[in-house]
Amino acid sequence: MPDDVKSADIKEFKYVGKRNPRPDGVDKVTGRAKYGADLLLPGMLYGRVLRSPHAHAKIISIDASEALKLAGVKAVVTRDDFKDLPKAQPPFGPMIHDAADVTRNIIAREKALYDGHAVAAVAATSEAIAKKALKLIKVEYEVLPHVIDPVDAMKDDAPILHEDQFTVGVEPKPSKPSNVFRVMKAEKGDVEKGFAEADIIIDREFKTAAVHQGYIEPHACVANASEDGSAELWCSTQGQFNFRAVCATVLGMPVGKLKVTSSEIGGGFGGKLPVYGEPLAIRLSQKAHRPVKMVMTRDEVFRSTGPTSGSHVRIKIGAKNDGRIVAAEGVLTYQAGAFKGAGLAAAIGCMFSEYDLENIRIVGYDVCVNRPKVAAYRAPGVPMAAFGVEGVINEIATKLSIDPVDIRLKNAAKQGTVNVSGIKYGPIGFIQMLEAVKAHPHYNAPLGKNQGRGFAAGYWMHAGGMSCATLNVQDDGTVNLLEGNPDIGGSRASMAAMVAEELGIPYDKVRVTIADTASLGFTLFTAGSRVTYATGMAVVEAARNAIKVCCDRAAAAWGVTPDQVKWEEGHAKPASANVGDFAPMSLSELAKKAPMMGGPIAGHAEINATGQGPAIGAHLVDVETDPETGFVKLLRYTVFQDVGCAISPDYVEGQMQGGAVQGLGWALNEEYVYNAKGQLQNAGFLDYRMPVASDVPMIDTVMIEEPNPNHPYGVRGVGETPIVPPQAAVINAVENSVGLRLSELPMSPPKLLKAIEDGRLKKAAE
Amino acid sequence: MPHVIFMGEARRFTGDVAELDVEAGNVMQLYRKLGERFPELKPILEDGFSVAIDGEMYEDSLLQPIKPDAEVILVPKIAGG
Repeated sequence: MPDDVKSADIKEFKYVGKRNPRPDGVDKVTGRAKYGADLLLPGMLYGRVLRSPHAHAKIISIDASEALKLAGVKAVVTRDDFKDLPKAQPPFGPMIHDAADVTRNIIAREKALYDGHAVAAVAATSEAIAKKALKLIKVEYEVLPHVIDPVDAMKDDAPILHEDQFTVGVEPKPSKPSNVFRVMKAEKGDVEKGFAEADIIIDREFKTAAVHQGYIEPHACVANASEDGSAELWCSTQGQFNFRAVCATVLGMPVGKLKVTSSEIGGGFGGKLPVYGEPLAIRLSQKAHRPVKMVMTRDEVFRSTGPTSGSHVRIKIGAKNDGRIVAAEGVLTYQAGAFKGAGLAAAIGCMFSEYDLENIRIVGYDVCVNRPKVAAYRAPGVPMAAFGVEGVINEIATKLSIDPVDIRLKNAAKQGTVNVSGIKYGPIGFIQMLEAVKAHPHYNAPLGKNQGRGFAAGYWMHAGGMSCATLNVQDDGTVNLLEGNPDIGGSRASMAAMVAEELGIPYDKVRVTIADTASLGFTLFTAGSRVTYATGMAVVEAARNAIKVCCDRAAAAWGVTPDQVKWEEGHAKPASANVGDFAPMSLSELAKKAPMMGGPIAGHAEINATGQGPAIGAHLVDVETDPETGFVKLLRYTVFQDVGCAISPDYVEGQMQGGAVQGLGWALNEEYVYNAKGQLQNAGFLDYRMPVASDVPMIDTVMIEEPNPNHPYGVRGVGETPIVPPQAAVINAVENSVGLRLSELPMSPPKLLKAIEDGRLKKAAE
Repeated sequence: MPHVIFMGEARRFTGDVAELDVEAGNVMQLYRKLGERFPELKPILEDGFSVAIDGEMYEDSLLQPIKPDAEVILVPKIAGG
């Protein structure tokens, strides 16, 4: 990809960097947009899932005979309808793809491993009949002891979830099965030497609760299988191509026989990367020979889909008296849920990575417990570790009487810094951003009684990967762009802006369509903050390929060589006065004449984007704490972020605001509450308290634009970074408002009140 | 000859070897040589690791050229949300 856009040019673009209307906006606000549950097909059946009420139980038998006798029931599926797939074998890399786990998570096989684990599914002519049928399925369980907390799960006497799981990454190799799937390690420099040189060492333990992504739209799909062995799936997903691959594997289908269409998506945040009901719906459709719709209830979403890991984190940091950090150590214990695969690799790779540190050691434990398998959630794995890291850095700053921004300036990563994974940074805007924080009016605004200000930073390494794009120029000069990423955060607008900029045509002449899996080459999911970066590169390349077709045709028409033609403001023009006196040819003109000049004009790109860069943010928050109730009122919030280049500033700001609000819920209220039997007690938005608009002030945003030199417009991924700093920032603000050190999330009113009262008692005793 | 450094998770599979020089013109050739030298690493190289070549990340890029004087680091792949 040619790098022909200079950072200084960013403000000079016509559509890139402008607040263009969102192409999908009208349909979304009028209710016309079609989400996962909106598709209706003739003869469609309704699927429902029977779920385990037990946190851990052997499944002795499943008898669906009575359910199948019920009028209107057309099919039932259980574990017997899915082939047991081979288990992944060690050695394991940082990423785990275990088809055996996926098969067991979508429908329990030998054991139910969490409250809400799918055990059977029914397709019937109505929802009511399907629900009634579930009650007729007889499942005989042998209830087993369960374990919910990862530290408890690591104890010698803990109930074991998987008898064939032996901890990886320890020597000697264990002879007994364990809930600890693996121990991951990373090290840089000499940590012991660093701590020996430190003037101050802070060593703290932190605990965070599992939290759900909380997307508004529940998981929903419609499957329609044909007798010829093919099938179509319409679903709410962050990646139709990934869903196709996983469903085909689980169902034993050739990939090319399954077509997956992504509906509009009402939020995902990582939670719509795994499959749940989709393979069940396809199998039910195959058995019933009719389309099957499955829509989860909110209760099912909470009980059976992935939250992020709860964690126990220990952070030890040593610094010199001037604030320079000389050693940093982290021990991460993450709950993976019922199957291995907590977000440890990301946490390890990101937790100290906005700092230029010589000596780092990190150890992580990936622990299975009787909860739903965790799924990605915005910067998966990183916020919990950052909560500890930023909390300790803030404590060191306080103890050394150093400004919290200044201590970070002293340790900030810069161009050339090498992080713990060995990545050497190119241009990186952290120092610029910290200076912007200090210069912002929020930073020195006065605070009142019981009020406190908090600050924290965060790092994420956004993704690249495979993306495809096809751009078709229609005969009137309008353009249809096909790309393969479900639009979660405004990506249609960004793609249209880049195409309009490249082609030199009005923004509203570009129409973006999200392609199904049969219409475009493989495109990696909408996740990892990758879409505007990677698919954006594909889209720009497709546009440039279409321009090349146009310039070649103009050259042929004028009898000159292609290099004597340039593309400018939507026209093919002679590259210089010496080429000749030719009237410029517009895209519309070339499109109109296309049938007589070689055929349709199109541009394609199939790329594997590399060269992704760091994406760093910092959050500043003011709170007021009520010492009598423990209630925390959020007063003011400002998000600073190095966004590279904001192609669509409205949607970049939206990402920054949304991430902050989700982090605030994580910090102050959200948690899973289990009873003694391991059953989830707050599986609904009334009892699982996410922030609503009235809970938060306006989230102000400050975009720092340090362009990524590897993207034609300087893009950095922006979606995930803003959920990394809020937990530490808001707890730091609460700490400063009450004069206490806090280490547990969520810091809900009862917990904060207890901490305040304990603090009072401690003070009185002194 | 490119210089390869093993950090963190990769070192679990290389014994005491922290770095070495490997004759390789691209990532695929590098993986082949590393797989021959460290059999435990072989089955997970392509799915488990990206490479940083002179500090720049390359994911799933088997044909990416590696200059003779390059520094190459195996970087654990991470998943986003």
